[in-house]
Amino acid sequence: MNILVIEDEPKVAQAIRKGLESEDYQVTVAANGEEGYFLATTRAFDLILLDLLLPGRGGLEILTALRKQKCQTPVLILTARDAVEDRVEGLDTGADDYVVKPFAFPELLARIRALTRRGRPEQALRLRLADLEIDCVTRKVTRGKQEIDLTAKEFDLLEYLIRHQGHVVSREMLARDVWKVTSRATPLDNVIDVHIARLRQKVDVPFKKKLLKTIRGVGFVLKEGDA
Amino acid sequence: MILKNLSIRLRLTIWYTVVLVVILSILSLGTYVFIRNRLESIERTRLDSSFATVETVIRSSAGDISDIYHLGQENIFQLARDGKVVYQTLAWQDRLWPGRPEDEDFDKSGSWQSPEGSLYWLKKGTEPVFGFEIIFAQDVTSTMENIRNLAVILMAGIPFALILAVLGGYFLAGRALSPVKAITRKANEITAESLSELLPVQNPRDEIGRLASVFNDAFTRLDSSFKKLRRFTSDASHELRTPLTSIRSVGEVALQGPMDRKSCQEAIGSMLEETERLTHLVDNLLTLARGDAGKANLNPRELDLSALAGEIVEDLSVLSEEKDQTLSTDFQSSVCLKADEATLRQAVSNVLHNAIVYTPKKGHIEVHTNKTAEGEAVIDIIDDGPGIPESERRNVFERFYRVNGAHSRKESGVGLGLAIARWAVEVNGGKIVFLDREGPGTHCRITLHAE
Repeated sequence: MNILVIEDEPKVAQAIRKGLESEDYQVTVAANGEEGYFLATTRAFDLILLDLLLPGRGGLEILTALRKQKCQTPVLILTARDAVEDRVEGLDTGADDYVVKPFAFPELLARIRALTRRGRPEQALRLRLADLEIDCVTRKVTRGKQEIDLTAKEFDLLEYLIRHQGHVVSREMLARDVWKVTSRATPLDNVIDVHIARLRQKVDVPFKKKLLKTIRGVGFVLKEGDA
Repeated sequence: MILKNLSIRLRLTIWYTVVLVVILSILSLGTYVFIRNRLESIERTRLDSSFATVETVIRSSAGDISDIYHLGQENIFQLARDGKVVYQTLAWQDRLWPGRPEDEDFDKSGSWQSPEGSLYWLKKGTEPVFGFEIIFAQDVTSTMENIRNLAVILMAGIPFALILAVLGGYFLAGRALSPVKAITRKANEITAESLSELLPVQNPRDEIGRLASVFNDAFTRLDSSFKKLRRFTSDASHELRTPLTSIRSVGEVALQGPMDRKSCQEAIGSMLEETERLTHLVDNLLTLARGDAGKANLNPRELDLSALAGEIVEDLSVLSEEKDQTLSTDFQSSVCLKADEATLRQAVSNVLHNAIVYTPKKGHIEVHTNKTAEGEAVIDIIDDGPGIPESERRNVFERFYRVNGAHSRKESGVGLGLAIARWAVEVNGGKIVFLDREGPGTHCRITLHAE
C-alpha cells in the first residue's frame, strides 16, 4: 500500500516514514507543497498524509486543487492548529479525516487503517484472539472454556482492544472512542488505567498466556506473544 | 476643520478671544451710541433753552432790544427785523463774521462749519409778537470732539483688549490644563514595568481628577493582570521545564548506560510518559487560551444536570473505589438547563476528580444535584478530605495555584483543573465557589441557570 506524506518538518517526516514502513506501508515523502502536489497528480497513491502548514503552497490549497482535478485519493490531514474551525475547514475542502499534532503514532495508524479499509467495514460480531473470544451480541466473554464476567465498561474496552488487536491503542483513543469524551483536558487517564488493571485482573491474571500488554508511555495492546 | 488640528490650549485661547471681541464690540457700540445721543440731546436742549431765553427777553422788554446786551456777549446770536440786522453779540461778530453762514445752511442742516474748523449748531426762528428774526448759534466743537475721541478710544481699546485676551486666555488655558500636562508626563513614564505608580490626582472631585482616578483604576487593574500574567508565565514555564528536564536527563543517562533492549525500552517509555504529560499540559493551556480569547466553540443545548452528573460519577467512581472511598449521590430527577455539554462535563469532572484525589483513603464524597426555588440548577460536590483554608478559597481557581504553594507532582495534574472548571462554568453563565463546611473537607458548589 502506497502512502504519500507531505510534511515539511524533516524529523516528523522521517519518523512517520519509519513508523509506516515498519507497518509494511510504502512511503514517499514530499518536503513541500509543490513537490507534494506534483507527486499526488502524477503517481497513484492509496492515501495522502497532508500537513496543513507548509511553506510555499499551503495544505488546504493543495487539497482544493487535488479535489478539483477529481483526485479521489483519501486524504488525512495533519494539523498543529488545534482549532475546531480549521478541522471543519479541512473536512469541507475534501479531507477524509484529521489528526491533531502532536499525535500519538498508534492513533495515526488507526486512522490510516480506518481510511484504507473504508468501504468494507469490519462487522464481525464474534471476535477472537488466541483462546479469548467475545460475542458482541450477547456480550459474553470466554477464555478457553471459562466464562469471564465483565462490567459494561470493561466489555466495551475489551471489544475495542480486540478490534484493534495487534495494534497499540493510546489512552486518548480510548477516551474518545470508548468513553466518548472529546476534550483532551478531561481527567480520564487514571480512570482508563484503573479499568485496564481490572480488565487484566479478570482476563489475563488467572491464565498462563498473557494477552493485554502495556506499552509504557504509549498505550495498550492486545496480542499474542511479546509486546 | 483646521481648529481640530490645534492643541486644546490654542483652541481655548481662540474661543476666549472671539467671545471677548464680540462682547467688547457690542459693549463699545452700545456705549458710543448712548453717550453720543446723550451729549447731542444735552446740546440740543441748551440751544433750545438759549433761543427761548432770547425770545423771552425780547417779549418781556416789549420789543425794546436796547437791554438785550445784558444777555451776555459770549452767546452767539443775531437779531434782524425786516431783513435788517439790528443786533449782533460780540461773540457773533468775532466768530461768525466774516465767514457768516449762508441762510440755506440754517434751513438745511442746522449746523455750520466755520473756516477755522469750529462746528456750530444753529437755530433760526421769528419771534411771533414783535417779528424779530433770531439766529442763535451754539459752539458744539468740543462736544463733537469728545464724541469723536470716545469713538477713537473705544476703537483703539478693542485691539488692545484682543491682545490681552490672547495672552490671558493662553495663560488661563495653560493653567487649567496644567494637571493634564502633569498627567500626560506621568502617564508617559508609566510602562508595563512601573504600572504600580499612579497619576497625580490634585482634586478627585473635578473633571480632570475624575479622569485621573479612572486612569489609575485602569492602571491598577492592568498591573494586577500583568502580575498574574507574569506569575502564570513563570509557572507555565516551570511546569513545561520539569518534563523537559526529565526527558533530557533520561535520554542522556540512557545513552551513557548499556544499550540493551530492556533499558532502551525503559528509557524511551519514560520519555514518552513525560511527553504525554507535556501534551496534556499544552492541551489544558490551549483550552484556557481559547477560552480567554473567547474562541471556545460552544454548542449549548438542553440537558439534564442529574444525568450528566450520573455519567461523570460513573466514569470516575472507579478511582474512588481504588481508594476505598464511598462516593454517594443524591440526584433530584431532571434538573434541566441549557449549557454546552462538553465544557460542563469538564468542569464537573475536574472538581470531582480533585475531590477524589485530595480526599484520603476511606474518605467520603457526596455529589448532589437539585433545582432551587429561584430557578437555579445546583450541583454540590462535598468531601471530608483536608479541605481548603478559607483564605485560599478564591485563589484555588487561579492557574497553577496549589494550596500551601506546594508544587508537588504526587497528586497528578498540573494545577489547571480548577482554573479550567471555573472558565467552563462561567462560560456557561454559572458560578463556582467553595463554601464553608462544618467539620473538615471541602464543599464545592456550581450554580447554573435552570430552564
